[in-house]
Amino acid sequence: MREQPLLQVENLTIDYILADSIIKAVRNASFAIGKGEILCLVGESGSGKTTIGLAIAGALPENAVIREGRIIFKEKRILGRGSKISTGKEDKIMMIFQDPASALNPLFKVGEVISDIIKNHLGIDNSVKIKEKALELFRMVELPDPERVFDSYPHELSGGMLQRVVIAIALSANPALLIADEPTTMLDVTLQAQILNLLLNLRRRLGLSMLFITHNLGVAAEVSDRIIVMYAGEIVEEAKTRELLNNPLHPYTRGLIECIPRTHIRYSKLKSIPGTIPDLRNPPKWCIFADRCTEAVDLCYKIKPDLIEFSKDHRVSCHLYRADKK
Amino acid sequence: MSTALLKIENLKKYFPIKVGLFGKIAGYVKAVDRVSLNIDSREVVSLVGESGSGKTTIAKCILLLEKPTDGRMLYKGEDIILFRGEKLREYRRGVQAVFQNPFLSLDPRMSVFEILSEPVKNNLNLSKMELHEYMLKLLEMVGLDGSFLEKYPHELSGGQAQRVAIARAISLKPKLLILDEPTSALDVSVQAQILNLLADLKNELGLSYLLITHDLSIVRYISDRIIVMYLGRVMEAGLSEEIFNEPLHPYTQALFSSIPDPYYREPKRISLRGEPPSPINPPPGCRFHTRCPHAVEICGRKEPLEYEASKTHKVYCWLHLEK
Repeated sequence: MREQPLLQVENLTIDYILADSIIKAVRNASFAIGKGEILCLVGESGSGKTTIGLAIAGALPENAVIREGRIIFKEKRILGRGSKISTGKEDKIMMIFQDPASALNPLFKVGEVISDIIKNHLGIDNSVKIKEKALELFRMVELPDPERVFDSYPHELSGGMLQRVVIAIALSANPALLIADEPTTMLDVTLQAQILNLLLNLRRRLGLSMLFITHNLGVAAEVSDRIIVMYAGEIVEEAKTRELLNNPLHPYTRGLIECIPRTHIRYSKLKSIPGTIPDLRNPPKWCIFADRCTEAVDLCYKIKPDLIEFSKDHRVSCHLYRADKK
Repeated sequence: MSTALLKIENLKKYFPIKVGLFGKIAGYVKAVDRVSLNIDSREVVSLVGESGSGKTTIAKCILLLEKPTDGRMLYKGEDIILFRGEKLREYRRGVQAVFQNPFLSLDPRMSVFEILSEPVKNNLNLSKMELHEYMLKLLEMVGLDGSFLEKYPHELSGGQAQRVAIARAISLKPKLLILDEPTSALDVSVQAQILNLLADLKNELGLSYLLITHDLSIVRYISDRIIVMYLGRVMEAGLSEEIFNEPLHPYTQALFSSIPDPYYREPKRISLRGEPPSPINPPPGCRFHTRCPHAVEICGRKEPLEYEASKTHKVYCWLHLEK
């Protein structure tokens, strides 16, 4: 029998209620993350990738409504009918965000913040031991001069260091799953490379599972085992990282790959995907990508394609690959 | 030799750090330190560097949003700082800018028509009919149709808003556009659209660009020359092909190898230690030596001189001078 995945998301459908409209941010998303696996959600703005991350972390804003679906973490429902929102020590999902500076309270020293979390999550009461644990975490995320960092305010640290601090804070609760939402997007490329390396090291050492959210396929290729491509709130393709990159099926995935400017190729013109994403207040009932797709046929404007298993571990939602055409 | 459209010589911009009640000056942030560059007519020059490299400060100096501490900036051979009256108006018409976030650079209370017509009304004498027609022409040039005239910025997507910002920038037929991270806030599929649009406009209108970006991967196909900056100083400058085919400075090499590419991996990735030091007290000698994998003793002591790899390709690094 197959091992139960660490996290399972089924038919997740989330709306945002606005004053005069409803945004259908995520529709029918299902996927799983195995133990020690890094899964990347890749998509452009408005694809719903952050909303999924927030739903799993139980941190959706108040105007979000979960219409359907359930999330199962460690064989316990954390969302859906009969779920229990676990808090405190049992909470083993942590999330880090794009902007580390806004994740930290500017009025508290970094050391105070992490001490608080260690105290509450690990139940350590002795202040010397708390500091020891904090410094150990700081060393684990390869922060230079951990003693000084402990006594610093956020504004005294650079962006790359702050992101390391935030990662250390996230690790302080011994999470089984780390949700990283664009953790390197605000960093310079040389620092981005460092943080990506750090996350890979941590996975190797701690067996941490990760849901990595990014818009950058290059970053995804570097860190992930598996990639899910999202478009306008729906999963359009899912495969192992190499398989997805070498054999992309969905026209959107192919377009996205072709758009990436590459350093060692001289272009006369960059490829682009014409048009913009559909209005999520009223998404089309047919294929979500049809309007921008160069290969769309009549059927694409009539029926929404299902996410089908094209080959082993490779799922795609596109009429080009429907069973009778295979 | 013809005069360059824009020539910058030894530009310096130091920001004083004031402390205490009376604003005692405690030191300077050396944002731009002795930078020279020139842009010829119809040429695209890219300034590449990470945060704190001073690339945006240079743009602000050129746009007269900051007063340089020292150095000269010449537009068609004349000193920009001395421009007054009609001369200044002509300069402002000639040099326009497009910034990173179109939603911050477009007034949310103005319709696209108002946004685009304001500079035109102030500078050209057009009748109401002519103005409307000119607006439609501008929109067409950036790939939008007339229905956008009535819209407000919040109704536009990021790519559309950036197109409006570009239309505004070209509305007075400028000679030079300063493009400060014009695609950084956009999704990849839209980023390619905007870069293609900029390349087309350049050919159609005979524009020059100063393209400022942190992303080396987008500059290759659009730029003629590339200047790589680090902590306020130029590290390497050369023709686009020279920089891409044979990056000589260790910093440029590290930048290239840090770009995540889904299909291509440098055989051996050069990863940099640590973080860029503060520009308040930049390291002595070569500013990059604290993170440089090849640094030797002299790098921390003396600032490297210019090494000419070719007539157009210049590097500031002791590794090449020592040879």
